[in-house]
Parts: sequence; structure tokens; C-alpha cells
Amino acid sequence: MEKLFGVPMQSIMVVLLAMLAICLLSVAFIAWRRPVIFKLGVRNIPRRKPQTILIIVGLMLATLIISAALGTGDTLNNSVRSAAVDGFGPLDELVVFDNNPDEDANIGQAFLRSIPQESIQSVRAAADGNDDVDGVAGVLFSRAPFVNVGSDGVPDPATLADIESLSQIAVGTDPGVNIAGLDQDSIDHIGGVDDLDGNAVNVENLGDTGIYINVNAADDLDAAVGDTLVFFVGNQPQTGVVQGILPESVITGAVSAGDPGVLMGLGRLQALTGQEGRISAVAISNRGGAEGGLALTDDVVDALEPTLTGADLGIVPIKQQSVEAAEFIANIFVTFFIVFGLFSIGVGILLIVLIFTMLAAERRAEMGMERAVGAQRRQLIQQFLAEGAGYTLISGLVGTGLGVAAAFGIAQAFKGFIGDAFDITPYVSARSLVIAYCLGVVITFLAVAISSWRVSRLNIVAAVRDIPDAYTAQRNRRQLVWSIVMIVAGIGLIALGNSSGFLAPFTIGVTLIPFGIAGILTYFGANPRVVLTTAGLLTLVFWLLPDQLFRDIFGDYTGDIDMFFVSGICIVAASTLVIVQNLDTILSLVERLGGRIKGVLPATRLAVSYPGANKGRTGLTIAMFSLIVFSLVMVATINDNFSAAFLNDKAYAGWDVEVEVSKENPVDDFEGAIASSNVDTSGIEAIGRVDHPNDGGNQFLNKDGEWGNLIVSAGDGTFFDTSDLTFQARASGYESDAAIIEALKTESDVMVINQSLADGAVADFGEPVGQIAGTSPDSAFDPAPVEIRTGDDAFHEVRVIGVIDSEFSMLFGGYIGTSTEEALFTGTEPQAVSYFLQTAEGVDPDQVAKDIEINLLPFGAVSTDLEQQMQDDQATQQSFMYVLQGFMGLGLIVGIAAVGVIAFRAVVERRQQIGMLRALGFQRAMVQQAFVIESAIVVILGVLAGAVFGLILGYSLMTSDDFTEGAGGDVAFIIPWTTMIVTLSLSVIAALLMAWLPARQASKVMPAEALRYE
Amino acid sequence: MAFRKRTEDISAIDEADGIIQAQSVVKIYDTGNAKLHALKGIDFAVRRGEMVAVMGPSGCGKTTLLNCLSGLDDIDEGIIWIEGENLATMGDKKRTNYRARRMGFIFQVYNLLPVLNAVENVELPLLVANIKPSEARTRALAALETVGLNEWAHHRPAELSGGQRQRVTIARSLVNNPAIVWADEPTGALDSKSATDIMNLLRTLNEERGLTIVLVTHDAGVGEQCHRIVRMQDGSVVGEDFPTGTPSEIAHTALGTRPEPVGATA
Repeated sequence: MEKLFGVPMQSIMVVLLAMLAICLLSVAFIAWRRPVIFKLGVRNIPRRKPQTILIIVGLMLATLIISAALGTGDTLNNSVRSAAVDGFGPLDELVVFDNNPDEDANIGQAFLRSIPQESIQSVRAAADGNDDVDGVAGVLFSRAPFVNVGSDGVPDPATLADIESLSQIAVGTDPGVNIAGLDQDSIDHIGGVDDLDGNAVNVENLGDTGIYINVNAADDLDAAVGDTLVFFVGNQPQTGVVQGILPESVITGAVSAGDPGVLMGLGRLQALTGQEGRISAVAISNRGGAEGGLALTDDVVDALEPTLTGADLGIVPIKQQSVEAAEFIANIFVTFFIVFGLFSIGVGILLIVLIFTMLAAERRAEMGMERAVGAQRRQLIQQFLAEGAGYTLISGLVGTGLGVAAAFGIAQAFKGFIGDAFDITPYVSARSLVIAYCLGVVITFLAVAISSWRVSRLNIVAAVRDIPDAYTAQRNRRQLVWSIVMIVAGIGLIALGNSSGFLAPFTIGVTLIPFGIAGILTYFGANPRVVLTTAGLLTLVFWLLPDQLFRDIFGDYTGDIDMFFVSGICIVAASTLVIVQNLDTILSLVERLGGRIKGVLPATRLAVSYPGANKGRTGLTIAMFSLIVFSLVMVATINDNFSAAFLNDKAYAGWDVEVEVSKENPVDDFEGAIASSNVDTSGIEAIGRVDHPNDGGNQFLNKDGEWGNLIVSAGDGTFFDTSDLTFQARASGYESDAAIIEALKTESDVMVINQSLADGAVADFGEPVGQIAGTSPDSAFDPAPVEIRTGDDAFHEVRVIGVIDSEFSMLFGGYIGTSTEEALFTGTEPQAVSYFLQTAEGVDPDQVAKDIEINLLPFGAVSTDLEQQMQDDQATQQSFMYVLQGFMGLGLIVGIAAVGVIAFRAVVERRQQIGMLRALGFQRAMVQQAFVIESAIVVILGVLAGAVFGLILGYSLMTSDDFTEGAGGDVAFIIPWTTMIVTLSLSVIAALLMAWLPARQASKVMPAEALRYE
Repeated sequence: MAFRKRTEDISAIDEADGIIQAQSVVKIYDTGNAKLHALKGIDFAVRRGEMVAVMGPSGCGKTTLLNCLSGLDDIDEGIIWIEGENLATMGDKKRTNYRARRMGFIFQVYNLLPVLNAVENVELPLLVANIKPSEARTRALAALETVGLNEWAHHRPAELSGGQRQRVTIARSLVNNPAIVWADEPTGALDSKSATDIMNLLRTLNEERGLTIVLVTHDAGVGEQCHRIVRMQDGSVVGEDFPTGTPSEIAHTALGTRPEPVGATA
């Protein structure tokens, strides 16, 4: 990964190394100038080993999460990048047809417009003398359905002609295999190709029937060397005998990762496809092998472009583009993981503060003594820093290591659902390790420094006598100053939000002001409980306002994915404050409840007393659980509702089966073809046709005035009538959905688009997306003119008259009717045609799809059961969300560790009290009960607050106009019960176990021994 | 019956008036590097209603003896009978139950729960004994009244003086009407005025309620107010005193008993 949040990783690493150096130098300074203070701090580390282990576990989690997120990014980046680099092998650029010198060449042309074979010589001439280029090869691409008939030789012509006979001897079939044709000269020019056995490929020795296949084709067709493959070109059967199996690469037919492919001599493919003297593209190999050549791409493109332009050729840096796409994909995942990981990191930081606050509480008397005998406050801070540095440096190492392990685990999970597209290989770069370690250590160090500063401000007498600190006038003044600062900062942030239109500063600003006012009111004697509860409730109301009401009151603001974290922090802070301020009431209710259960009252009495007496500690723990549960519930809510809204029956517009046929083996009469085959057509109710004209070669002028790729699909009347499309936005003049459908069928310059093409659609992780100026995604607009450059380099203007409801989530790009298709693509055959089938009730679409695919095999028809496809899509999305939730679940481990740390500390702190309780007659079980109930109260309060507010915010988002209009309206809100019940119960049980273990240990100690403890 | 198997040395205290009997009690602290013999075969007995002080220099084993006799700690050798029951055969649960119903404890450092107020601290043993919360509260308030702290019932320990805290501890030790009260340096952390008040209170309770009180103290003045002083040194009982002309004699007269020197080892 080269960038994170747009900042170069190298820069991030340098800054973090510098910060780490400052931290370490601070500690070194303490060790050098204040050796006694240093020793006082460091000697605490081995003092209580179990506690030290818990602290290290607690501190390492922030590092672990960062390390896991970066490791996941590295793994994805590396895997996708490897797929790109390995797929292109030695090839770095492709020269394709391009007669528009003002625009970049379009890779789609390689599959639309062939170029003369002499172009190879032209490119070689242009590259002559250029040391950066070490090979130039010509390649012709085609595509055909293949049948492996095994090693018994070529079937007789009668069998070849009859699909039923062919099916009977088929070992394996694949309706869409890419074919690459190269001559030996080209292969030699790019350094040759070896098969998997290490033999050099020589297409001159293939004869009339020899072919090579790549590993993907070998898998799909279950083919081995010596097998005979039957394939169809121009609807005519051809045969090829496998001579070798080749690695996956563009020149072995894998145009995209995972594609099955065949390599044959250029001359034979030209003859078979009727393209004598023509090739698809000229491939250029840069000096330096598959990886090294990449760095020379810009130089090569700059050097060759001027010469090629005059020959109607353009150069596409295809490997570089793929690698950049890999970076982009990896960045999306890392952004997800980092943003949602922020919750866990936030919880980790709270835990660090909690740990050091508790350590300070434990040593309060010692620290009071040190201050009494002349130690300065800064020396107390130095002492804690020395100790904290010890924990931090160790925990950073452990956390980084475990983060790598977590990243490997996540990689395994990814393999399960995207492993078909890419070979996922776990990989973590040294740079990511350094960044994770430095960031974890620096975060921890800062948290320790702030906690130390806080605890150093103790009252000496109160500390020595171990009585609560009294409020002083100075402390009150500080509170007043902070309150004023909060109000001023709040106003500033609101102003910033207003001027920039960003939601985050505005909402944070609004959140700060009530708390600032509450602080001032408290200073002037108002009841803290009343004013802070009011401030908290106001904040919650503000954050949980229904979307439309929020817009009505405050106007429109732009929010990004970071709003998840901002909302989580603000809502949890407010809810925790309300809970803590009203803890006494809540606890008295719990006590009353406990009093009703015979024998539980003494334990309940104790359990409710401690949280109320340590409100800071209780609040921190509640906040930790709230924050992580809030994030988990939010993600689960969004996931379940998103799936229900977008991956439902309407996703494919109600169609059950799609049959795609490519131009290489066109079907002139689809209905006739299936009717005359063995397909049972009685269960087919409707067939709609969608053409894909110039697939991959069409572009449109987006709202930024740049050409973007446009997927254009042209539907016939049946398609539009049967799809029963609805539109979330309509152009004026087209007041109903029916009017738009009618226009698509009759007008020759109209198009409807999916939501992501509409102006103002949700941006795709900050990447420029193609959006059409003038189209509104959710209201009426004037018909928006858009300029389209079709694959034949002709320019047209069409009017966008509707935005398809997002519910039809599998309809991508622009849809036109046959009238517009004829106007735009006059005289060109579509690149591919999709036939959409609607089946009758009770008919199995999967069986229909299979029947059609096998019967139309000579046409290379690829059939898809759309319901199954949708389920697969759902499964893929669910899998990703589960991985994400699992990753976020690391935050729960932080929370559980926190309960462990608190329980362990509480047991140590209360050792004497436990002895006394046992002396008074508390049974061991009662002591354990008291600890478990105490933890349960805190954990359940946190979990409930997080779950309730996560659900409310999720409800607010999922029932907002944005979402419901996007989803086609009438969305029933789904509560993710399964996730909630499983996750929350497990976390509560685990947390209580963590509390029970030290309590059990402590209750076993003889009372006298416990009473002796100091 | 185990109680009848007492040795001759302690036979002077019979079943009728004996409440604590210990024979050849040995307690060893194993610190890993060394073994510390805290109690070296001690014989000890206390009559019902007796107020006994255990005195001796620091580290002589006074607190250890009190802990072992009260069942707060295990012993390595010997036998202890409390109200005729062998502590060793009671098991932790039964022993804990026994403490809850028949014993009260007073500690030098008070050992009040800082998160509970005075009355909540006092009623805790009653709640443990499954007394109804309303009844527990009434009895706890009554106990606080006995020690003169009814007006401080809803104050937390941090808001009370040392003497007041110790009174709360005493109230807590009395609230379940125990047979025995164990007090470890009950006046150790108090000024002389508070110490006198506390001892007066304990003596009154002993006299009026017939409480058996075993207390550990450094303070000769405290010991002088007891019926009997058991002197310890280096893990052994080295002698006994019966303060004369003190209120203890009056107490013994009231009990109609005259304890014999018991448990003294050479």
C-alpha cells in the first residue's frame, strides 16, 4: 500500500519514527538524568506479574488493531497487485486503435476494433533505440465455447455437429474461453513463454490442431496434455489438441484474473475468425521483467505516444492501470478496516487511561509520600512514563506480532469469498509493521503521558491519608475555563461546518456546546446531576434526530464514512454521562431487584456500592462496552437492512435467468434456437433481449468534463415491459414511470441511468466517479443532455430522462431502447447479447439455465440462475461483513480485557475487605457473586446503551429518505437479532468470566491472609 | 464428645462454662525461603463470658493466635474447639456460617467498607445471615445507638473519626448477638481518650450481655481492664495475669467463676 487516507505511507512512517524517537529519547533522558525516578518506575513492572501481563494485553490491542488493518491492506494490495503483475507477465503496455489524439487510448478498443498486423512493425520501429523497451508482440483476441472430449482423439463430424452426441462424450465444458493468437516471432520478442513443465512454447510446432491452454482452462475443462478440445467459432466446430499447460497471463488468454484461456498460432486464429492480417493489439514489454518494467511505463508511454498517434494508434499503460486499480481496491478495504477499527482503537485508548488511572489509584499513598518528601509533579509523571514505556515497548511488539496473525486470519477469511477472483496470499510489508508498531507505541505513550499528568495533580494530604480529593477553588476555576473553551470551540466548529458544508465539524460543534454550558452552570452552583443529564439528553436527541427533521432544522451537510466514528464517540459519550450521573438511581433499582432473591442481597449490596463509589472507572468501562457494541450493532443493522433492500427479488428486475451470447457465435433467433433444442420452454413466460453494443468501448463526458467509461445496455420492448422498472427521479416531461418506459421504446435519443451515475450520488471513497451533470438522484430534473462517444469514435448526444431505483441494484450504467440503439450504433452488431428469461411459478430457474447452457453450447451461451447469483452476492457481502465484524470484535476483546484488568485490580485493592467479609460470614460463593454482579451491572449497562443507541441510529439511517428512496421506498426496518444476541451474550459471558476468575482466586485465600495483605 | 478429651492443663474449664479450647496449636508460615513457627504448640482456653487480653511484643504471634482460634486461618497442628465443635472438622462453609452467626470481629484498622455508610456496614452480617432487610436495618440502628452513633448512621467511614469508625466496627461485631467477639488491637489506632471510651464500651457489653471477648493488645492499660491477661512471647504462652482491683475481678464475681491459670507452658 502506498497511501493511507491520501497520505503517502512513506511520509507516515517517517513522521511516526520521529515521534517514536521523541518518546524514546524522553525515557532515555529520564534514565540518564533521573535514574532513581526511572528505577522507581521500572521496578513496578515485575512487581505483580499477572497484573503486568494484563496491562500488556490491554495496551497491545491498539497496536494489534492497527497492525491487522494495515496487514489486511497489504495482503489485498499485494494479492490484487500480484494478479495484475503476474497476469500481464512481461507485458507493460498495449497499443490499440485510437484515432482521437485529444483523449487517452481506451483499452476497450482492443476487443472492438482490430488493427493491421503491420502495426507490430510500426511499434517496433517507434521503439527502436529505446532501451526501456525489450520486446514488442502482436496479439489477436477472440472468445469461444470449449468442450473437452478427452484423450480418445478427434470425434467424427457427425458427433461434432450434434450437441447431444457431443454432450455425451464431454469431460468438461466452458461456454466462454478467451483465445489469444501470437506468432512465434512475437513470443520470442517478449522473452518466450514456458509451460508448467518448463518446456518452451513454440506455436510453430502446433500444426493444424495443436493448442496450449492456461491453468484456468485446464481446471474448468478438466483437461490435460493430449486431450482434444472442441470449440466453436462462427458457429462452426473446430478441434484442438492440448500440447501444454501454461501459467495464467494475458498472452495465454487470461485477459482478466481467473479467465480460462487458450494460446494458438496467430495465423490459425486469424483464419478461424476471418481476420487475416489483423491483430487486436500490440503488446510492449519493458526492460526489467514483470515487476521492474512497471517503473519504466511513464517513460515508455511518453516516448512512443507521439509516433503512434499519427498511425491511428494509442498506447495504454495496462499493467500500471491494473496496479493502480489494485491499490484503489486495497485502499477501500483498508479505509473500512481503519475507520471501523477506530472504534476498537478508541476503546484501547480508554483502556490505557483506565489502567494508568487505576495504577495511580493503587499507588496514591506512595505518590503522596513522594510528593511530601519533595518529589516534583513532573517527577511523578516521569516515573509513570518510565514504567509506561516499559509496558508500551513490549506490548507494541506483542501487538504488532498478533496483528500480523490477525491479518493472516482475515486473509484466510477473504480467501473464502473472493479467492476465486484473486489468489489471496497473506503478506505484511516491513513498512506496515514499522508504522503499526510506532503508531501503537506513540498512541499508548501519549495516553500514558496524559493519564500521568492527571494523576500527578493529587492533593498530598488526601493522598497520604487515602481520602478523596477535595474540590478546590483552583480546580473549579479550571472547570470554568474548560467549559468556556468548549463553547468557543463548539461555535468555531459549527461555523466551520457551515462554511465547508461538512457534517463532522458541525455536529461535533453542536455536541460541545451543551456540555460547556453545563460546566458553567455547575460552576455557578447548579445541580451537576441535573445539568449534565440535561446536556447528555439534549446531545442524544440531537444525534438521534430523524434524518428529515435534522435537515429541516439544520440544513444539508455532507458526511463521509468517518461520520460513523464521530457519531459513535458523541453518542456514547453523552449516553455514558447520562448513565453515570444517574447511576445511584439505577443501582438502587438493581439492589431492590437483588433484595427479592433470597441470599443474594448481601452480594448485590456490595456489587452496587463499588460502581457508584468509582464513577470515573465505571463510566470508562461503560463507555468502552458501549462504543464497541454501538459499532457492532450499527454495522450489523446496516448490513442486514442493506441486504434486504438491495439484494432482494428486484435486484435483477424480476428476471430469473440470464443467457449471454457473444458476437463470435451469434444466435440469430434465440427463441427459435431454444425451442428447437431439448430445452423445455413451457416454463418460460417471457424473454427480454438486452444488447451490449460496443461493450467496453463506450464513453461519456462526465460532469467534470472528462470522458468516463459507460456501460450501455439496449433493451427491447419486452425487457422494459416485463422488468416493471421504477424510477427514483424523473425528468420533467416524463411524469410517470410508464411515460419513461414508453419514451425508451419510442424515442431515439433517450437514456435512463442507475443511481451511481446521477449527479450528487454517493461518492465512491473519494475517487472521481462518472456522474452526469444535471441529473438529480432523488427528485425531478430537466432532461439532462450527455455526450456519448461510441466505440466507433462517433459522437452523439442523448438525454437522460430517469434514474432507476437503486433497488434494481444489478442494473448498471445507462439503459436505452432499441430506437436509441439504432441511432447510436447504426450498422454495428452488439458485442454481446443478454437474453433475460422469466420463468413460471414452480419452475426451477437453475435447471432452465443449465439446459439452455448445454443446448446452446456451440453458441457459447453463458446461463446464470439470477436468484442463485443473488444469493451468492448476498453470501459474498455477508462474508465480508462477518470478517469486518470479526475484526471489530477485537474491540470486544479490549472491553473484556478491561473487565479483567478492573476485576484483577479490584480484587487486589479489596483484598483486606474480602478478608473482613469472609470474617463476617461471607461464603466464598458470595464474594464471587459480588464481583460478578458488579461487573455484570457495568458490562450490561454498557452493552445495553451501545445496542440501544446503535439500533436507534441505525433505524434513523435506514429509514431516512436517502436510503428508502434509494431502495425504492417502503423499507421495513430489520433488527439484527442474531448478531446482537450471539455477540452480546458472548461478550457479557466472557466479561463475567474475566471478573469471576480473580474473584474466585481471592475468595479461596484464608481470611487471615487476606486481612494481612497490604 | 470431643470436648471431654481436653488435657489436664485445660480441664479446669469444663463444658458448662468453656467456650474456646485449644490444644497444642502449631502454626507455621512457609515463606518459601524459610519456615516461621508463629505458634509453637499453644494450649489456650476461655470461659463463656470471660474477657481475655492476649499481650506480648510485636511478632510474638498474638494476632496469629486470634486468627487461628477464630477460624480465620488454618493451623498446622493441634485442635481447636469452639463451643464444643472441632474447627478442623467444620469445613469452610460451616465455619463461615458459624462466624456469621456466633462471632463478631473488631480490627485495628476498622476494616469498614468505604463504599457503604455506617448502618449499611453494620447490617451486613445480618443480611449474610438472611435476616429480613427491614429487620436488619432496625437491629443495625439499634446497635449503632448502643455505641452512641445513631446520628452518624448514614455517614460513610471517610466522614467519621477514628474513634467513631471503631464504634461502628463494634456495632457491627455486636449486631448478630455473637457468643464471642474477637478484637485485634481495638484501640491501637486511637488516641487515649477514644481508647478509653472504646474499652469502657467493650467492658460494659461484656458485663451487661455476658459477651466473651478475646482481644489482642499492646496496651497494658487495655489489658488491665480484662479478667485475664495471657502473655505471649516468641510463639508461646509464657504466663497469665489476673489483674486485681480491676473491673475484671468484679466481672468474675458477677460470673461466679474464678478462672484457673490455663494453657501456660514453660
